[in-house]
Amino acid sequence: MDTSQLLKGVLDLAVLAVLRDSDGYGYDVVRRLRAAGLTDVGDASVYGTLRRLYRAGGLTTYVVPSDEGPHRKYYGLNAAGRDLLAESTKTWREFADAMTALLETGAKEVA
Amino acid sequence: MNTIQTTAAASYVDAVRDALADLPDDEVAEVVEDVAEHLEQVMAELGGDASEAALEDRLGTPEQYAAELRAAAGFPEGGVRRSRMAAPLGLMRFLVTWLSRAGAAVAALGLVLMFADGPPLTPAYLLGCAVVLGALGEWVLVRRRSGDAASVLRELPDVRRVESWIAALTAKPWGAATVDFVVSLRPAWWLLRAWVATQVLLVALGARLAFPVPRTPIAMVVLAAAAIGSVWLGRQAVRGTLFGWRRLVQVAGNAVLTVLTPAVLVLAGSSDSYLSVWYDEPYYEPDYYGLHHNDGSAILNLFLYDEDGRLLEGVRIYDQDGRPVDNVEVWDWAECLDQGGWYAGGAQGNVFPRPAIVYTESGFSRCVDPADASPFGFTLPGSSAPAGVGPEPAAGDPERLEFEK
Repeated sequence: MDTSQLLKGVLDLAVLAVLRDSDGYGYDVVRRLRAAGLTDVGDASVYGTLRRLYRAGGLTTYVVPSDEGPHRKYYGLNAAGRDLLAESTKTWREFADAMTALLETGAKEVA
Repeated sequence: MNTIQTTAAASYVDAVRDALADLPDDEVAEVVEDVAEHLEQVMAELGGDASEAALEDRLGTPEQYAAELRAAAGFPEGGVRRSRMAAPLGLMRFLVTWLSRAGAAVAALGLVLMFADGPPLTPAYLLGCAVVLGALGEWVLVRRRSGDAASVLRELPDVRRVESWIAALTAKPWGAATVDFVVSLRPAWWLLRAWVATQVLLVALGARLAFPVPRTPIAMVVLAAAAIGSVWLGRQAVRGTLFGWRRLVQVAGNAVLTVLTPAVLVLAGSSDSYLSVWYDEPYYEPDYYGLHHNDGSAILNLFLYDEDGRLLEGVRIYDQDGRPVDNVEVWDWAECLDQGGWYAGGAQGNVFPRPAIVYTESGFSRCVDPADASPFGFTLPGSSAPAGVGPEPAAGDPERLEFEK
């Protein structure tokens, strides 16, 4: 199964999750997602998702000067973002539980 | 960070921006800020020698990158490119094609004539060469960039031909280094184009082409402002953060100025050809032509007194070769035309003193006789000659005091 198809539906949630504990700039978010095991995530998709969440009002952004290069634009969760994360997490758990249950039932029937 | 890296990243960012050009300007600006930052990081990861091809291996083509970002961001599907750039780009395309061909034809014709008749330094020939050089220069500057302006240029058959020549050039061991060197001269170009723009502006306003640097305070301020603006624009362009009309100004301005640069340089080096190009009739700047004192002030008339201190009138003056000394600047002669004097009386214009224009306190001018124009009048003060009929000099007039020295 192509994980990039699966990622499309949950990338919002994944991006919100990696920003939960600390703010990050775009490439930081890409790295955190890869480190978390989502190796197929596309760079441009992450940047696009950040823009969408920002436009939806879930993220704040600020610029931090960098010693070694250009300024970095950091993204972080605001209150609306945390609400969205909580809500999406709940939706995901219900969905994942349903899928898991479905797969286990299917496995028993096959067996 | 070397030039190749910066340029590969910048052209990638440029292409992404162009693929998103239908989105609102401020949204594109935000996205491009992110993308530029992203490209810097990827460049750093890929190491020192990343090319555009290496970037595309890692991230896909700029168009794929833009499509992926667009889908994730929930932007509408990329449709037709914004047509705002279409008309100016079409015009640019037309001008580049036909101006460069016409320029090449004139330059080639001039080359043939040169073997027949010696150097044909006519304005048309110089402009023809200027257009060819300018078109080549512009192309070298944009060749590593993608995006609207560059792709319009790349589609031209002439440019493709030149591109194949440059490809052959870069295949040589020294070729790529040469092109990189030219690209690395960009900051010098930013300053040069500011200088050219200032000169063009000053000439358009009726001032003289000032070489190498304008001398009036206002022109210096204009030059400084142009330099700051040009460097700012250049840095923005390299970073790929120029959009909309600013980008259009940058691309169109570059195209125009690259064509004008050689022309201004050539003309600035030769004031004669400058005059014949820009004015139908010779135009003389008071501060430039004719006799001058060593301190730069112009000599406008000559008054000769004999040893007794009497003013001599109608004296013809010649130099050591017998040439009439007539290169004395005339400022305001029209009202003296009917006075005979230097104009009608001296066919050679070397009869002194000349009649002169004086201005009354109410602002009117009138032509006066040579004797009345003299700062000393008919007799030199303190001379043995009897007092003349001319007006006595006003005491304390600085010009007259200076003249006495």
